[in-house]
Amino acid sequence: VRMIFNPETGHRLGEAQLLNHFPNHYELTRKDLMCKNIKRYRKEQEKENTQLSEKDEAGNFKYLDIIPMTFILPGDYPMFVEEFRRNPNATWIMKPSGKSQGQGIFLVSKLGQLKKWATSSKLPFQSLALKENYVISRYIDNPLLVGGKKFDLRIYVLVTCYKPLKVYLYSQGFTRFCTEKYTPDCAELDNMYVHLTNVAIQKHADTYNDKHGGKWNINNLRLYLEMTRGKEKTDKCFDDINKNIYVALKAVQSVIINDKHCFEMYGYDILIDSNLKPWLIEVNGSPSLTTTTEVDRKLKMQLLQDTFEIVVPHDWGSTDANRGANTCKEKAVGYYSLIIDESIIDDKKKPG
Amino acid sequence: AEDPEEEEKEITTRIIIYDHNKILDELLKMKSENYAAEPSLAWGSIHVVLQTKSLEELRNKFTELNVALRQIGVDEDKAFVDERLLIGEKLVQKNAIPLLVQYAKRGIPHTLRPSVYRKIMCFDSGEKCAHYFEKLQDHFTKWEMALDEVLRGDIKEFCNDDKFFIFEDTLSPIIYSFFRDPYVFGHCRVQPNKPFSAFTEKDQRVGYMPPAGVLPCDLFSRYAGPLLYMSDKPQDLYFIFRGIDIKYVSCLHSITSHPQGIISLAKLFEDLLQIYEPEVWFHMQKIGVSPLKIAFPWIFYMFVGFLEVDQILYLWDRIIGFDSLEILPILAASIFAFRAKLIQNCNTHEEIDEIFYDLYQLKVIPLIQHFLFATETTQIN
Repeated sequence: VRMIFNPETGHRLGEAQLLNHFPNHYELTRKDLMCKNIKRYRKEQEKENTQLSEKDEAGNFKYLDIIPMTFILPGDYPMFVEEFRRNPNATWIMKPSGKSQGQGIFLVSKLGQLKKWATSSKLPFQSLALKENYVISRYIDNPLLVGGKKFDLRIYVLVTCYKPLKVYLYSQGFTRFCTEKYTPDCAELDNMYVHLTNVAIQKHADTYNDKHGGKWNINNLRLYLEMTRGKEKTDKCFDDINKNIYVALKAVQSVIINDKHCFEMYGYDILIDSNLKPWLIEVNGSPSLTTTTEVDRKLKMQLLQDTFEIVVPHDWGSTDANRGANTCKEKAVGYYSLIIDESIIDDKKKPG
Repeated sequence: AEDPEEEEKEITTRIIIYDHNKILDELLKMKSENYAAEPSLAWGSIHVVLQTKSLEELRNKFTELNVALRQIGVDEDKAFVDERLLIGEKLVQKNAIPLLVQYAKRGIPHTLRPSVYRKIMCFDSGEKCAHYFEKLQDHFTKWEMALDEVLRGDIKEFCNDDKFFIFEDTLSPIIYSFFRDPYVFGHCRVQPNKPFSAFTEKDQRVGYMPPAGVLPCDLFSRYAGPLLYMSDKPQDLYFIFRGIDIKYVSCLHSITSHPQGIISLAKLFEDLLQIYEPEVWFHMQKIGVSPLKIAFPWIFYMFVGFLEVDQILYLWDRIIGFDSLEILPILAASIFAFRAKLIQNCNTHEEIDEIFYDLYQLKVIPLIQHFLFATETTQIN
């Protein structure tokens, strides 16, 4: 994608062409850059003392506390060690910044484990030339469990413009379940089937069932939560998910290069903890469109259909047609509904 | 498994005692031997002459479903839902069970449903129930029954469904305990067939085998499915499940002339379709497709496995509120009425199957309301 926008290549996107990525989407979709941008945004909001930067009685951000504590390695290593020593019983999760499908991820409960992994030589950690950046985050060891198993949410979000921000939320999302029951037991820290929800990993488990694929529709999760936890708590949880989506996009709004040809359909990964607080794990710029079950296939085909319905101008192809991916005027298309539209100038409402 | 022998071992055939097709086959064979006159509607596949209600009578019985009244399952505005929540909470607090049944007729807000169902289905809650369920569980831990193999297969097959697989651990104890529960047989609304009995040397009957006195149909677990959304604890759900089985599922599994029995329900479906959607009926006869064959599994399974879970719950609220299964054939007929134009454009069995393949978009209460209250009734005998 970068190549297309590189002014030196001499190529330009044709008037009628549409592209399903923004030029520097990695500001949001790479784990380390997302973390950097969110931290920067938080500082900015706090400095300006905006409504978004409001804190609760305990001093925690009410709206901006969307990612678990994260450090970027190797640069932040000393800060990480300091934090680690403060909470020696905490577990941390190491993830390569640019990989996907759960590749290269592992859990760390002792500093020694990190050191062992990083080097067999005697060099201090931070002076190592790591092949790539890693992020290390506080592991959420109290995930919400259903049927004793950990799961995360895959939510689809369509952005047709960053400046001003225009965002559609897809109401059909799904949860991805682990095949083995959750346990924080140290002995099982390296059991991926307990901790990592990526389908790419779970489908190799012995107990993987390809009829349901470990995928449970998000609306059924909501129904279950409403009946077992109550409407108020459930509504707040889903409101908070929408707020997380909003904050993540606002955090990168100023750095993303906007282009009218571009749109992006993101796969947000959200993890809900046992207190019904949703955490943003990452934002995928190329969410998987391969399907594992019939239900999955139906969902993704409809997703694509609805996406194209929004981004492709209705008179695409004719010479005096509307240009770009942001021509849709509807507030709802298929299962998408417009949740953020900053082009409406006098709409100063916060989402949710 | 690469080894072909291994693979064969894995494909174990599940033991199924009976399924809905067997029941339907039996129903279709039955005739009223001693009925002298010509039945008024001779074109249905159910030949047993049982009386079914007319649309007027159904309108009277289901009057709370009138379009003029707001419903949970149709109206979602906050004021209405809050009002329903307030009323429901008061009734639950006061243990006003007959009033709760009346309340259920217009649907129960999701948050309240578990407690309302619990109150209605098991009026003596608390210590006694928890202890009783524990005893059933103990029985399961100590004694294996031949039936357990069937149940194991049933649960596993049912948990292939993407709506229910997460709840396998809550489901299993409920199913295993149910068939060990001697309370079931004597309390079914419709008496089941004579179960296998165990006798002592002195010809004294000491119990039924299984103790519940009933045998499971294929995918019996379906009847517990929607309830699994209400709680993580099997002991909370067990008595609700048992109550629903005793009152309603027993009617669906017994060959009986009871007005709530499966024969009457099947006949009601056919009667409604013949009288109020005659073009659909005749068109399907012409192309050789039986509407009852399509609708039967919906009715038999109380729509579990065919609708979204929230829709099933809206439907079950009404079954409990009106204490009647007639809402099932009414819904089935309303689905045919809704898709009337599509049906009439079909010419083959396959095309019809395609129309009814996926019911997951349907909103049941508006469909029922439309059929009950918006259908013209000028064309009856």
